Formats: sequence, C-alpha cells, structure tokens
Amino acid sequence: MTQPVLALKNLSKVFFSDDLETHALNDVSLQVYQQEYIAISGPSGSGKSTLLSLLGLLDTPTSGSYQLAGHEVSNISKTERARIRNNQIGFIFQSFNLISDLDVMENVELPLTYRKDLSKSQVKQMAADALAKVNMSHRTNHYPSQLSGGQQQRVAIARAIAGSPSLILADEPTGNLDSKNAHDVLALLDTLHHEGATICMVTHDPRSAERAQRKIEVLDGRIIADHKTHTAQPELADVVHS
Amino acid sequence: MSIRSDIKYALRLLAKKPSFSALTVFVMATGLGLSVYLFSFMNTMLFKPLPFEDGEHLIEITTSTNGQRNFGDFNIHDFAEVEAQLSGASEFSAYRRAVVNIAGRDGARRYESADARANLFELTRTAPLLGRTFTADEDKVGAQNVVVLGYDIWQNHFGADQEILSRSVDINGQPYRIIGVMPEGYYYPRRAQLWRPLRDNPQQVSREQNAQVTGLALRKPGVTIEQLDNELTLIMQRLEQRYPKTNSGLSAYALTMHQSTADGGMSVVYVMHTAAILILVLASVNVGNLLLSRAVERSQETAIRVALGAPTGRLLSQLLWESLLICGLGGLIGLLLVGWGLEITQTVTNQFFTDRPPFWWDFGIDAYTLKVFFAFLVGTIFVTGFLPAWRNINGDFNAVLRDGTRGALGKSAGKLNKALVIGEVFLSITILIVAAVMISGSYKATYADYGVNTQDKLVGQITLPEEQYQTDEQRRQFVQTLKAQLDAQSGFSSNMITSALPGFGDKRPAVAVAGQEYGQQGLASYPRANQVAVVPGALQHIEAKLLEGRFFNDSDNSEDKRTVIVTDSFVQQYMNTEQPIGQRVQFINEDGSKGPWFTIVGVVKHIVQTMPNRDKATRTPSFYVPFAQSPRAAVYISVQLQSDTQSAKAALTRVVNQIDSQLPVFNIATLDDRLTQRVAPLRFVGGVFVLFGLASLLLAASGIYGVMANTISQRTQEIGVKRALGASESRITLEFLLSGTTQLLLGAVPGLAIGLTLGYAMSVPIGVEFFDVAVTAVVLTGVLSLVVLLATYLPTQRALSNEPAYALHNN
Repeated sequence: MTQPVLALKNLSKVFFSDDLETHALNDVSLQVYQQEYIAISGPSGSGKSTLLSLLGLLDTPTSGSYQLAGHEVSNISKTERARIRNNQIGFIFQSFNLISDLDVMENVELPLTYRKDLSKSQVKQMAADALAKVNMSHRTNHYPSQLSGGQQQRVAIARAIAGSPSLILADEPTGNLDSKNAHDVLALLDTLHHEGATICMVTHDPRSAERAQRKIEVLDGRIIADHKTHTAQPELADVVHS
Repeated sequence: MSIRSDIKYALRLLAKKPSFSALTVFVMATGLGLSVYLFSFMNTMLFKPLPFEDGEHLIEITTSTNGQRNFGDFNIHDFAEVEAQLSGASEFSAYRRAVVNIAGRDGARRYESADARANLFELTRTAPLLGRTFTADEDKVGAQNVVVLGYDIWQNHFGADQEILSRSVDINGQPYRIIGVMPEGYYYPRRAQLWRPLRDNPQQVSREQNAQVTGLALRKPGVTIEQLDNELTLIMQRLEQRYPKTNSGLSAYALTMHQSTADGGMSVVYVMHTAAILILVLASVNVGNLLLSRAVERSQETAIRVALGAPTGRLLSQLLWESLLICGLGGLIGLLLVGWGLEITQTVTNQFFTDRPPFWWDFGIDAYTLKVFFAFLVGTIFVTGFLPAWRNINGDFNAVLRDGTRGALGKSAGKLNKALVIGEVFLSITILIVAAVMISGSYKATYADYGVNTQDKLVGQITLPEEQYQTDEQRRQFVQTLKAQLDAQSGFSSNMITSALPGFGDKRPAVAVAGQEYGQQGLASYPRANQVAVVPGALQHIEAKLLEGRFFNDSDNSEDKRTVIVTDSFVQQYMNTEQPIGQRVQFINEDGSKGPWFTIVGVVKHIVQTMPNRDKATRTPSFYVPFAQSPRAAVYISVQLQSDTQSAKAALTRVVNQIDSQLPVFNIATLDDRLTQRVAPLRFVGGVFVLFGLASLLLAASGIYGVMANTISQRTQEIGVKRALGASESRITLEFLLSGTTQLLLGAVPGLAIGLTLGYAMSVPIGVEFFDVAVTAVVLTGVLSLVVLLATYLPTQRALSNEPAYALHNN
C-alpha cells in the first residue's frame, strides 16, 4: 500500500448562499490506499456527504489538492471529471437512484453505454456479469418500481461495479433498507472488497462502520478521528442464497 | 362550508404563486378571448339569422356560369320557371339593385335603391313606419311612379318631415310619389335606402328583352341549401335544353344573404373557425400542463389527504377550484376583450364600404357569443382542471408516501409531457401556416401591382340616370363633353373617363378571336375577358405600358371604328399568334348572338381589373374599347392630383355639375384609397390572423418551454445520477435535444400535413400560390424547431449548471 488511490491535502469546501458562507469541509487531508475499505461517519451536517461528493468528483473543492491514482483532479474540466467517474468510480446511493424509465438490465448498462471503447455485446455481457454477481439475473426485464428496496440496491451495486471501477463510493447504502437487506448489502460490499475493490462508505450506523477496515469520523467539516477497525470477513454464501 | 374552504384554499394557492397565476389567467384570457371573438365575428357576418321573423329561412337565388358561382342575375322568364318548379322554397320575390340620384337643395345625392316586387316587404314581415308599401297593381308597367323611403333618407334628406306622404321626390329626374317610410335599420335586401316597384314581369316583358333580376325566397323548414341547389340545377338543366343559345352553361344556386357577402370565401371562413378552435385548444393545453405540473408537485399533499380519508369527490372539487378560478377570471377578462374587439370591429368594418356595411353586421356581445363563451369555458375547465385532478388522485399514493420523491408520478407525467409538446407543436404549426397564408394574402392584395400607376389620382363615380340618358348617343355625348371640360381644367394635368378603374371589375363578355375554332356548347365554349370602355388618353393617364401597336386617339371615337386594345395576358391565353396587331376579336352576346368584329390596335402589359388576390391565380385578361364604341351609364372619372385633394374634389364636382347640375359625383377619393378600401376586408382578416399567429407563437413557445422546463426539472435527479455514472454534459444535452427533436417531428409532420391542407384551401380564394404556402411552412417549421430546441437546451443547461452533487442531494 505504498501508492494511495486517493490523496486529499488541505481540501476545503465552502458553500455561499444569501451572503452566508457555510464551511462544509475545512482543511481536510486524507489518504486512501488500494483495497482499503473505509467508513466515514459523523452526525448530520458534519460534512461527510460533501466529502464523498468531492471524492466522487461530483463537486469541486473550494481550495486544496485532490489526487486520484496519482493525478491532480481538483481543477480538471467537467468532461474529464465525467470520464473519470465513468471509468474509475462506482457509486452506490442511499435511495438507489435507479432510472425509473429503464429496466434492470438497461440501468446496469447505462454507465457502460457512456464508454466509447465498448461494443454493444460487451456492454450486455458486462452488465449480465454484474447482475449475476449480485444475484439479480432473474430480474433483468423488471422495472425498479417492481422490485423491493433490497433488490433495487443490489441492482444499484451491479451498476456501480459493472465497469470494474478502482474505487467504490457508497453513501449510506443501507439507510433505506431493513436489517436483513442491510446485512445482505454489507456482505456484498465485503465480497467486493475481498475481491480487490477500494471502498469508501458514508454511514451513520456504527455496525456498518465496524465492517470497514478503517473508520474516519467527521465533525464540523474536519476529520476528528481516523483509526483502524476490526475487519469483517465477507460471507458470500449469505448474499448469494438470500 | 367545505366548498368555501376549498375556494379559500385554491385562492391561497393562487396568491402564493402570483406569477404562475397571472400567466395562466393571461393564457386563458388570450385563448378564450381570441376564439370567442372569432366565432362571434363570423356568426354576425355570415350565420346569424337576419333580424326578421323567419329571417333564418330567407335566401337569395342567383345564377352561375359554367359551374362558377358569380352571383349572376336571372332573366325574369328563367326566374318565373324557378318559381313555378322549385318545391323547396316559397314566397318568391325578386329585386334589382339600382343607384339613383335624388335632387336636393344642396345638389343631387346618390342613393342605393332596390327595384323590387311588391311582396318584398312581406317576405321580411316588416310593416312600414309611415304609410304603406307597394300594391301588386303598382308593380305593373304604366302604373304611377311610387317610392318607399328608408328611414335615413326621411331623416336626413327630408328632415323627418311628418307630411312626407303628401310629397313627391325627383328620382333620376322623374317625379315619384312617396307612399311610405320603412323603420330605422331596414335596408333589405342589402343596403337599399329606397324601394321602387320592379315593373319587369314576365307577362309584360319578353324573354328577348332580357330583363334581369336577383331572386329572393323563403327556404321551407327542413329543406337545406344543398337540396335547393340540387333542385335548381335540375330546373336550370331543363331550361338549358329548351334555350341552348341563351342558357348554355347557365345554372343557379341558393345562398343566404350572409353567404353572398362572403363572396366565395367560405373555405376561408371554415379555416378561420378551425384556427379559433386550435387557439383555444393550445391555450387549454398550456394551462392544463401548468396545472398538471402543479398537481404533480402536490402529489404528496394529495397522497396525505387520501391517507387521511378524503373522499374522491372532495379531492376533485378542491383541485378543480383552482382551474375554475383561473379559467373563470381568464374568461371574464377574455370576454371583456371580446366586447372591446367587437366594438373596434364595428368601426373598422364600417370602413369596408363607401356606403354602409350590410345591415346585419351588428357586432357585439349577443346571445350566441355568450353561448359560445360558456361552452368554451366549460370545455377549458374540464381540460385544464378535471384531467390533471383526475390523474393526480388516481396516482400511486403508497409509492408517493413511501418514497416522498417526485419520481412516483414521473413516468406517466413524463409521457403526458411528451404528448403535450407533440400536441403543442402540431397545433401551433397548423395555426401558424394558416395565419401566414392569410397574412401573405392580405399583404399581397394590399401591396398588389395593378400593372399601372395608381398614385396621386383623384377618382369619382357618376351614374347617368336611364330616364335622362336613355340612348347610347346621349351617354356618348355626355362623356365627350365631360372629357373636353376636364381637358380644359388647368388643375388636372391628365384625366381618364372609364367604365372601370384598375382593380375594379366590369363586364366580362365571352369573346372569340378570328380564325380560331370554338366548341359547340354555346356561350360556354368561349373564353371570357374584362371589357373596359375608356376614352382616348385614359391608358396613358394610368401609365399602362404599351407593348405593341398604339393607344387610342380621337380617331377611335367614331362609332363604327371598332378598335380594341388587349392586354398581353389576353394574347398569351387566348390567341395562337405572336402578331396580335391587326387581328380581330368578336364579342358574343349573352343571348348567344355574335357582335361585330373589332381590330386589335394595341397590346398593353397586363392590368389587374378585379380584386388583386383573385387576379393572382387566373390573370384574367382584359380588353379596352373606346368609350364612344361602348357607352355605359356607370362612369368613373380620374384626374391627376396637382393641388390639394379638397380643392380637386370641389373642382371635379363643379365640372360635372356644369354639364348636369342634377348629377352627383360620389365616392370621391384617391385611387389608392379606393383600392385600399376594396381590399380592406382581406386586410382586416389578415390583421386578425397576425394576432392569431402571434398569440399562437407566443402560446406555443411559452407552452413548449413550460413543458420542457417542467420535464427537465422533474428529471434533475436523473441527470445527477447519469452524471455521477459518467455521462458528460454534452452527452446529456444531446440526449435531451434528441428527445426534443423526436417530439418536434412527431408534432410537426402531422401539423405540416394539416396546415398545408388548410393553407391550400385558403390560398386559392385569397390568391396565394401553393409554392408560397410551402415555403412559409418550411420557414415556420424552422422557427418552431428553434423554439423547441431552445426550450430544450436552456432548461438542460440550467440543470447542468449545478454540480451533480447538488442534483443528487436536493431532489
């Protein structure tokens, strides 16, 4: 773990609205290494979601440096940021964020269709593989509204991993799920981590955070703690047969 | 109580978003106002029953030639046959329009008269205000001259003299005993201000004397105009077989007085009705969409109410009140605008005519207008309120409550939004093409090139009374004297005496060219051309362009000279020669007999001798004959203006009255003014369509923008997700533009098909070429494409202007 996947240095984010300055992130420095599984936690409004947005290039920092895979990305163009998101980052959201007009297969194919280097058949194959991984192959023609919350999140995970990203960002992935489905999703993340993925997960839930290797605590836009946790081992059988 | 609280709630919602409320009210006022106005306008002009008992059954019966409806008069013997055989109508009467001169203290005045059968007044069930109307005995040749005066003449010419029935009046120099005065506002059949007995009846006048009348009758209840037309066609076919020489190609048709005013432009009328409906639909779709987007926004509130047990009726009522208030207020404003618009229309349409408009043109908010208004209002409330309300209360409430996001109705609302854009594109492109054709027709008619110089010419009309100018020689003599007097006037550098000014029609006899073969179908075998009588120097006065030969000179004034000048359109259309000079032409009389041969001495560039829009399609050829060879009773005088118009008018009247003090010069105005007035109805309709076109473009642009902005706003989160997944801004922009283009095409293709069909239907009577219609359609499609693409591009860019994180966290 000599080369960090991402490295933040003195990163700040200030929101301006109605003459009001909100310092969402303040001078944050952080390094995440390959195959690390980190949990970011903190109370509401602490800045953890802003941190995840910056990590995912969904927003730009007000100041500071952000290096992703050794390249400075804090001030690159929107097009370049979109290309990096598409190739290197996979997102998992609390509210799943599946496109309601697209069926399961089309939702998973969506990020792959933005790539110019993939043929149609490759896109189909990669999406099918991702769905098989989350055990949703039998629901490919269903629309999101026809799925349960747990199933929707599994489709969202398939979408996030379909393009084999080097970094997976999960924003409260179990926030809208019951405990059984939450457990399944966390087990799935454990498996992905075990297979080599780097994962950053924002969570409120201490039990979810405990499954990560490293826990970062954020308060008032600053990292107040950064420590190792007891790493949970994935139980793939739990997920596949759920 | 619940209704009151629903109204209060709806009012509170409207007050909360004043710009939204103002916009929807404005759109509704525009849509309802324009459509109701046009329906009311058309009804008054064309469909409202005449203001008499049985007014809805009053018809006029006129003739057509070779299938062309030309409002021709009947030979009284033909009309007698129609009377005897036409079973679908009753109470036949007949009249002939005439213009008469009445001598007064301040000189002679000209009035429009109807020389009518005695039963004309019974047909309209109208009794005179004073005295009596004609008796059948007074309708015979040799009876005493009697006249019934109109209210206006009695008031203005005779100062409302209470002893009027004991007086006589000189009409065209002949004494007439005044026997009655008709009530105020009575001008039947059209603009008659006095009525004289017709005196041409089949018992006393032979078929060969060819006395002509227009027929009047009452359509029997239950009989349609079409049925009458079919019957008339059969009767006229029988007459054609019996009198092939005079009746070949001659038929007859019935029409309401209103339809006769529309002058063959009924297709324009129907298109205008369609346009009015389309405008209303466009406005309703716009407001419906705005309310629907609001309903979608309020889906969570509705879901909570459902969860709390609100009955469907109550929910519907609450949602409906908002649209009811918007449509009600918009409608009220619209109705006020209609009233105002109709008031202006009355003023404007009064200027269409030198005398007065048809007496039934009484524009204002009447029972029909209110009926249409309320029907439209209920329709718009249903479309704008009931449908969005119904959609809203039939949504998946559980999903809305569980999810709490906008997405729950997103899919169905998205489909509806697409349908709305397609609908708006379809409607607006249809209306815009129709409006553009009408505007183009109006513009072309207003700025038409008549083929001559119409500027700085003062024109006036005189009608030589038959009683004093009975013979051709008397008329010829009068015109020669007048010409000499005009030439002697130092104030007029040039002058013209003619039977028809450019832009005005005259006789259109059948004509034959020497050496050419024509069919054996009598009159129908020959082409027709405008025959205009002019004095030498007339064509130079209007600067007609001489292409070959010469203009007329004094040598052509000889009665037996038989010379003629034709337009190049005559040569091109009717002659198979490139050497027209010296060729001979012959006029075919209406009874089929052939007139003498005339020699072509000159060819001038085509001159428009009819409404310019009608001439556009046909380029009706004309030929000019020396006045001396074809004297007329109705004469136009034109003088070149050198001084101010007022003194020129006075000078013109003075010159005429020096020859005949009892001869009024009427309709004195500049030639340009007369021509403008002639196309004024077309200009007015063109103006209405400018308003329609602008309104539809504005409604469509704002509507499409509203729908697109709403659609894209509802998809902000989706945009955020796609960007998070790596979609570039250009990719998302392209995706939306493609979707917009698809909707554009789905709306534009049928819109173009319908618009071009309607446009073509209108283009023929108003003289716009189909090529122009097609070019217009292409340009308008381009404009609308720009509107759709901008309406897609701008909201997309606004949605993309925020970072994806914002879109994901704020929706």
